[in-house]
Amino acid sequence: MLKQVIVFLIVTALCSISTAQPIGTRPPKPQEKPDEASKKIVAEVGEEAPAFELQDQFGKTHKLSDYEGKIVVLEWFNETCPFCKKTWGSGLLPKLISSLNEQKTDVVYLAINSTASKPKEDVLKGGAEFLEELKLETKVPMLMDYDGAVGKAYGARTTPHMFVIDTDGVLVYQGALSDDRRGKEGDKAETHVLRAVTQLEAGEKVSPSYVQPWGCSVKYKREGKSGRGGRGPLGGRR
Amino acid sequence: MFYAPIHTFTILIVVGLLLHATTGVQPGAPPNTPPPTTNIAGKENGHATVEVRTDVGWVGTLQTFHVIAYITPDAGWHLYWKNPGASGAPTEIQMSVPDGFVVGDPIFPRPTVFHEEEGQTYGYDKPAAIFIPVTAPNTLSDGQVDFKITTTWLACKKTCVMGEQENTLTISTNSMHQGPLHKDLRLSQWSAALPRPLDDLEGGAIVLVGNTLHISGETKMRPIRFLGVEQKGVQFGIPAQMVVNSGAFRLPVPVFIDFESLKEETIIIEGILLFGRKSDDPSYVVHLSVDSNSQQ
Repeated sequence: MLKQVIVFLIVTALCSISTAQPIGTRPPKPQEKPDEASKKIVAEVGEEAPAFELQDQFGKTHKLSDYEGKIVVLEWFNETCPFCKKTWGSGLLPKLISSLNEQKTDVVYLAINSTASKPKEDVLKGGAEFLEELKLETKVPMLMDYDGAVGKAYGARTTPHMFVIDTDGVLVYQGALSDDRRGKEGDKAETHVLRAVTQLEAGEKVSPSYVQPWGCSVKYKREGKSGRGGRGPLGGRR
Repeated sequence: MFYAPIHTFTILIVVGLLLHATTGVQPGAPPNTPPPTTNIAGKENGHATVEVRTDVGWVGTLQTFHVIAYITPDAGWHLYWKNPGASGAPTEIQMSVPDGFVVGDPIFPRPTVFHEEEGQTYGYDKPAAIFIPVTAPNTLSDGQVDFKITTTWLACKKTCVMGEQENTLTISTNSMHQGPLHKDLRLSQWSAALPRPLDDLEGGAIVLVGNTLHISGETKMRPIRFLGVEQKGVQFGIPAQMVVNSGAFRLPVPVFIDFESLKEETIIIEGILLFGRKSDDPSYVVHLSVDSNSQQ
């Protein structure tokens, strides 16, 4: 009988161990790389915005210097990113553009596409078709930045990532589109862009001049890759 | 006579299994012990799934307990910490609770640091248990209450998708007795992954001097890193060179507070201090309240 009790206790203990194993009990493999300082944002609020010259989906060339005396709003854009789909599709961005058009100062809205995870023609076609299907009152230029030089000069990290440049060409705001990351408020969300432009028009200081941007990472061209996405030298993620 | 020992043995095994299956009920429970909690998952999508549970057998009056959202990304996909870093979007939890229950801020486990082209991002490519503290009201009747937990996230691989799942957690209530804490291995491991208060660290201290946050303590683990939680008007710079003296360290972190844009009198500076590289290495909560009137 004593033997049976001992066997019983062993079996019970084994049952407990086997069924209490949580998912992923083994510590994950170390994936962290040695410390690296986060990449510095090149464009700084309060300083002159980096110059650019890019072509849009209609073949027109846009230079930042063309818009001297106007407020310029830049949106980093990728039509395959769910945040871009939502902010455009919900009507938030079309409504923002309408509101910007009602300002006293001329406001120019430019979408910039630095996506290089697929061939350039596909990026151009996909973005252009997306904007076309929205049937916007005002045609939104989508500037192609396939080599990512302009995106990197501005430090664009996400889609969307917004930049507001004043009439003197000075960067006055960069960061999130709004605080409504999930698009729950639809086109009723308040945007930091309209707030910044309104503050500029009222002669006020743009504040806050930075709000952490959210969204998909910008799918920049990888070093040594052409037209395809892939892991970077650090085994990075997309 | 021949079969008798086997019969006894079988009964013992069955009794053992039954005992094992009732781990949620602790010895000494009141006579009207309520049934264990239940977890009903809602719609699922977005390359991750969420299951919810609690760390108590049932809830008594004024008892503080945790609702735990256990989120599992699909293989190859990753989700984000409450500060996603250079890109991404935070994992967020919203709870709908019965009257009188008070919900605290979610406690996220230590994130992994990912290195992307555009900078570092923080998140999880393995299951993560997020603890949400809840305090029960001072009056409760015997019965059950439902908590609705909505978890939203962004999951990324080569592309990104937004995900959302709604779960319902039914927890039993008892008017007289507070519920016992579950003590299973899963919970222990999940708790171990949570950051601890900085006070738990030998010599752990945080002070804001001008525009620099000085975090200090004692450890021999390396590396030591600070991840700030950026909020509107609060931005962190790249930490300066760490000062090390034997086992003691001091990490200066530049912090930029835009007081003009912040209406609040008290500004919270928040982040996490990471020691080592592994997901089960220690981490500590960095939390500092700043009186905006004294700083401007």
